[in-house]
Amino acid sequence: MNKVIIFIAFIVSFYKVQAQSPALALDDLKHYRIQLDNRSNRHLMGVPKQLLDGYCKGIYKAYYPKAIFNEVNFGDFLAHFRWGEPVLNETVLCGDDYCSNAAYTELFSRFTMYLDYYEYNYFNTQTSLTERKVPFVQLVYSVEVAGKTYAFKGPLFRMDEIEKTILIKNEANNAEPQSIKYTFELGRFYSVEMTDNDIKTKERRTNQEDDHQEH
Amino acid sequence: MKKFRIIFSIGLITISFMSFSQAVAWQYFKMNGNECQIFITKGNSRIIVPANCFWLDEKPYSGSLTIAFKEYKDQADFILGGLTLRYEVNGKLNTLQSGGMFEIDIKTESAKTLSFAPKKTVVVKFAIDPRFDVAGLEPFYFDPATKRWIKNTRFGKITESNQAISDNQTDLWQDDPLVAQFNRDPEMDGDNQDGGCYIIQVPDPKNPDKMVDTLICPVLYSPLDSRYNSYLSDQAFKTMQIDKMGLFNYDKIFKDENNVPMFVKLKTKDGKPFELTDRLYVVYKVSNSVIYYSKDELAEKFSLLPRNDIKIFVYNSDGTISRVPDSFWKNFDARLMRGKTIELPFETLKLARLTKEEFAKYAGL
Repeated sequence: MNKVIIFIAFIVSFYKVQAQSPALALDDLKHYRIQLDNRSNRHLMGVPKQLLDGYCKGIYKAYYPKAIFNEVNFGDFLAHFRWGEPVLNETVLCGDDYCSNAAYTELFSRFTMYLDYYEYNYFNTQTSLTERKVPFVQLVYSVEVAGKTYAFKGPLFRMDEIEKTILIKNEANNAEPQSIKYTFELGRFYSVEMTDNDIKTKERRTNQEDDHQEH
Repeated sequence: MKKFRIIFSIGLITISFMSFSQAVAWQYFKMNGNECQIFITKGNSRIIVPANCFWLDEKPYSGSLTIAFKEYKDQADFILGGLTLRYEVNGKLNTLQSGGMFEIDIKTESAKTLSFAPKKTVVVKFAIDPRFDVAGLEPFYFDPATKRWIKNTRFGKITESNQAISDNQTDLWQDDPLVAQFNRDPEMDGDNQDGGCYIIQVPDPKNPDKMVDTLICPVLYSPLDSRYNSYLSDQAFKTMQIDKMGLFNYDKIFKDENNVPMFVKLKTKDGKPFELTDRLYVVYKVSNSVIYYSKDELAEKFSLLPRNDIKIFVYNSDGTISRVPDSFWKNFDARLMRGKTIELPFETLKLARLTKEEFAKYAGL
């Protein structure tokens, strides 16, 4: 009997620790990829565009995947994907419209195929349930070369910084969109878990959408 | 005739003042408050000002205004501008490595100070000197009240955000989208014009025991090629949204964990003691940072990084520069000097005029 109590206490304390300590390292989190043109994920298709638009305008901050407390300057983001500011001999839109310049829209369109996210599970002592937290979503640059799609992971966005302003279309009620946090914590989409092997075989997997686990 | 003499004298004074004036000059841009404008500075930076961005006396301001802007690009600008790169956070004194600084002040035509309208920002796309374009530069603001730099990010005050991080972009990202461009096969160049790419397995550079897929595109083709490539290779920018006037910096903590502490004695070139009357500057030429020591600090905490781009000099209050000659560093190895005393010989240069370029030249920057 005592052994059972000790075991239960150990499990509870483990989950408590998990719940209390924020997941600081990306390596400690489970990494998932959402294919946005999957028929079950179309309600999320506008998310990369909203993130990029807000990032360009300075509304959202992006973070380095390997330095999650350090912001990625928008200029570094452009340079990482070998892009630049709008060329000045073009008609350059000003002010809030600067982020709608053709140079940006062309780049932004390359982030619309996938959306990655990172999650961890914790034990909610109030509901006595193991629940899911999604602290980060991540943009993914995709490019097709010789009939094959290659994906490159981009900057991270913190869920607690975007949850109030990025809204997801509610299929059941168009008038009441849902917050991105709510959508991700309920897992209303299809995604696949990413591991080193998964990354190499993603091409095959994307052709087998029906095999994706539901999240 | 007397009038002419006076005008001539004033002209001479002005010219001589300008000759000795090395500090970065203000640039001015005029617009109306209800307009949207993009200004290009002399340093090729962009200032993007949205319409209705400013308030005067708590009310929207649509009248004429002037944007005053200063660009500080390199070590010479920082020193001549009297700017510090010391950054104290969580009880630790750090040195900042800068991608460049700018100062901005926006006033009405009658020199009244404007404030920013709620939720409005001016965007500064700072044209960074490519020599100093390193990864991980973040926005800092110089607090005029405390005279200290403040990291202007959400995590700016926590320890995790104030670690020295790599200068290489690839160390901070998970994927390097440029990898495909480094794997062209020159022997096949031109034979396969249809752009057919293929994959081979090569050892992972980080873990040679592991094989990874590598994309090979035989023709000169990159999946990331874009019409902005040529433009990007000319100029990179750092972006900052600002909602107050003042001095801003694109910065990161200078990596100095390999610093070698040592004692230092200063002497003139002919062996006499060299009296330090001003700050002693230590600059590593390829890092956009400025380290300085007062006389007291010099005795207590002098240290050098084991690098071959060290420049040490004093910018004296009489306008002369005393520097350690380049020849001194040829056989110098800081790693061998831990806890020992280094004798630094100074040669003093008297300059007829001191422009930024001449200052940089004489200081060895």
